[in-house]
Amino acid sequence: MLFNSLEFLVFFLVVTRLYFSLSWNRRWPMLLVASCVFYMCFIPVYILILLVTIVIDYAMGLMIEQATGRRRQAYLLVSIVATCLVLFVFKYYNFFVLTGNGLAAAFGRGPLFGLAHIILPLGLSFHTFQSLSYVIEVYRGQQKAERNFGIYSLYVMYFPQLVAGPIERPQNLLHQFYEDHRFDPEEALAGLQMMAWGFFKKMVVADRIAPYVTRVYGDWHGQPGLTLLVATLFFAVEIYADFSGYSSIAIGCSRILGIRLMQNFNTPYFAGSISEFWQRWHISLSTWFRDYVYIPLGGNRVAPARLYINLMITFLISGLWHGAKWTFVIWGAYHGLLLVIERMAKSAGITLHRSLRPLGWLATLALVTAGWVFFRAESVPAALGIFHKLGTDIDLSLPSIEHAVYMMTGDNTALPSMLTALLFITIMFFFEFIGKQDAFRWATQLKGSRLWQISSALAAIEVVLFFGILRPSAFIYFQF
Amino acid sequence: MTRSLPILAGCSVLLAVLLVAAKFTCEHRLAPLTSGIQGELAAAPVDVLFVGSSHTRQSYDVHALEKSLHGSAFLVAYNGLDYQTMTVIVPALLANGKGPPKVLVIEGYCMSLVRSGGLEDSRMFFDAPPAMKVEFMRQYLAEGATWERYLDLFDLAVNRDNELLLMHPAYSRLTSWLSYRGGYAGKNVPGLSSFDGIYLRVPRSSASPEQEAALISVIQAAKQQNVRVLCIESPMPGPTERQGTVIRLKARLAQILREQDVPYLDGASGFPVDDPKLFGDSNHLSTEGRALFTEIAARFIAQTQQPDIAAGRKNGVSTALAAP
Repeated sequence: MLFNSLEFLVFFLVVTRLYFSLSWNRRWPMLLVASCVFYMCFIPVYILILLVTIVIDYAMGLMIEQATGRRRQAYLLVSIVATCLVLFVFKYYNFFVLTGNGLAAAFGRGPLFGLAHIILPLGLSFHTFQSLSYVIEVYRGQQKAERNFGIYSLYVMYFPQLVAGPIERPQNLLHQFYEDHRFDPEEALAGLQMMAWGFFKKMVVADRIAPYVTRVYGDWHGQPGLTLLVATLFFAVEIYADFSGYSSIAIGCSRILGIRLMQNFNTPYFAGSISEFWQRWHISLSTWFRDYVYIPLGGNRVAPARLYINLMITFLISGLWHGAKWTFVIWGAYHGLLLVIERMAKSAGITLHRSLRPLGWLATLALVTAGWVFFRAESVPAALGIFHKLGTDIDLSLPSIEHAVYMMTGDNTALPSMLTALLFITIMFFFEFIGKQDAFRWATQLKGSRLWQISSALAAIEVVLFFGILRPSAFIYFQF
Repeated sequence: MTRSLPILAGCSVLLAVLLVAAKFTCEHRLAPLTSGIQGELAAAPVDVLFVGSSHTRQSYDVHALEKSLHGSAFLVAYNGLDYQTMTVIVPALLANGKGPPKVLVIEGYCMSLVRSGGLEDSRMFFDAPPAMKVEFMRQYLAEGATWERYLDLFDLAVNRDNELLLMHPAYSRLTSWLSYRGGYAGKNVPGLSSFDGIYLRVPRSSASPEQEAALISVIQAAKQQNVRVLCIESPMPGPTERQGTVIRLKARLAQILREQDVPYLDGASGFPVDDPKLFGDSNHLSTEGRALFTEIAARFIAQTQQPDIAAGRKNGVSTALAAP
């Protein structure tokens, strides 16, 4: 059940109606059932995998809290290993088999292991990380172990953020399931506005440009450099609009129910440096890696060389988290390397003068966009081939531009759709730029009369209805 | 605020209904006048009217065609336009108030015989006047009134091609600039360097009875109006032409046309189909191929206007291409 489908609209209306008609102690069971239904709409049997993770981490949480000394560490280790094992089996097994077999072939040996025919459970990386954050926080004493198995299950399975985050911390989410949330029209309107903005980003912007990117990256061999350049820029917009759109819808849904989720994006493409980009992009994941990988490795309170190694390790794991492919590992390493270079420059006292800040923004945007080539390409050779074409095959003559448009759209008459996409991309970034982080909320609160609030929300709904791509398509981050 | 939410919902629904009604009844008035249904209605009467898919659009240079035929021509071409959809469009084009064309050239694309109906190119719906829109919807539901089909129609009526309205000033200029009487104007489709990977995916191996019946219905509708009907199949790359399914479907098409006494030009016969530079992809001509095939098609049309040559057809398939 995709957020951008009619089924979800009906599902959410029913859940909201039921939620506010029940007493608070019956709400969490209803939310839990709704979350199960939501997850089982994809591949029902995979709920058992979730259940395994939930049972292990629930039990380990209780045992860690009651244990002392080394036993606490041992239980934590059991929990981490078990949760990571689920991830390994379902997400990384084939990756390691292919890599191992490739190495064996290089040494003239036959395949070492056979491939497993596994469909990746939806949102596996998200809910396993959310589960891990719980046991780590219990271990650290920052969170009391949850006694209520149902509430704990809901913490892992809460449907708005189950399949693509934000990856919540127990301190932020668990206690909210115990609170008695009354229907607050102000909160509901704010939630609806966030959802409308999310739908705009997903259905009007991301889904409109996705076919161009798919067409070009699917057949990159036959594309001129200019087409690949435009497709790469489009992908940068697509992945942002798609993922931040999902987050806005998730946060908005939850807000209507009175449950606040953490912010996941903060205008990342307006960042002035790579480190700033990572403070604004997929915040729930980058803070997860900061808190549970980077800082435990020593963070930045170590010698420079060790700090650089810590950064590289963190980003290599982050790359691998995104997908079981070498392209993602290289993408992570690329960002790690950029951060190391940035740190080195900072240590050497090289900083941009305030007047040159736009240059820093432009350089960050260019570097991040270049990184997306690895993220989107089917394989490492494909990514390198695309870079080669980008470097050697850009022709800006009019016939080349016409040819590039034809190669992207397949038909020159599809140009209005592309121009519409450019118009809505501009609108999206304009609002994001002036609104800083919550563009639609900002727009609707502009010293606003009620009429302005209503009409702006109305406009967003109409724009989605008339210019969104109504045929539901999956969110990019669902695959992770 | 509690009162605002129902107001918001009510206003939203009302505005949406008004906008959809306006779109349904008026959008065709903003359709381009150099191509498509509205273009043909504005240009009528024409001497030779071509109706077909992108296959037709990419196969003729209308300027050159008019020069060769010493008459007017117009291409009504939409991506994936099949015979079932033609049963809605062709009668409306023939019944325009300014008189029907002298010759109707139906595209003889073998893929049209195997399509499962539906509007592949939503611009057809955009360009259609309201009565034709209703007919499209009725035809679509007649093939199976499922929930998905209702959602498709909702999408078509509410959402599809709104970018053409939003970008109308740019779009109308663009189409005027890039098209001439339904064909491309000044557009370069580069030829292939090789046929590597060229393969036409045909969804089924035998012709659909509904498409066959629709083809016959279109032919008869034209003949009732005393319009001379021809069928031309544009050439496709050699590897595509040699696909077993394509050969079988073309033979079936030739048989139907022979039974209906409709002159048929198999474009592949006598055309250098193994020259990659004459093709843009697996089933469309390049600019160079288009120029060559336009000459061949013009010769065929001219010859079929002479009864004695038409009578000299061999097995219903024209041998006119053998002439220099």
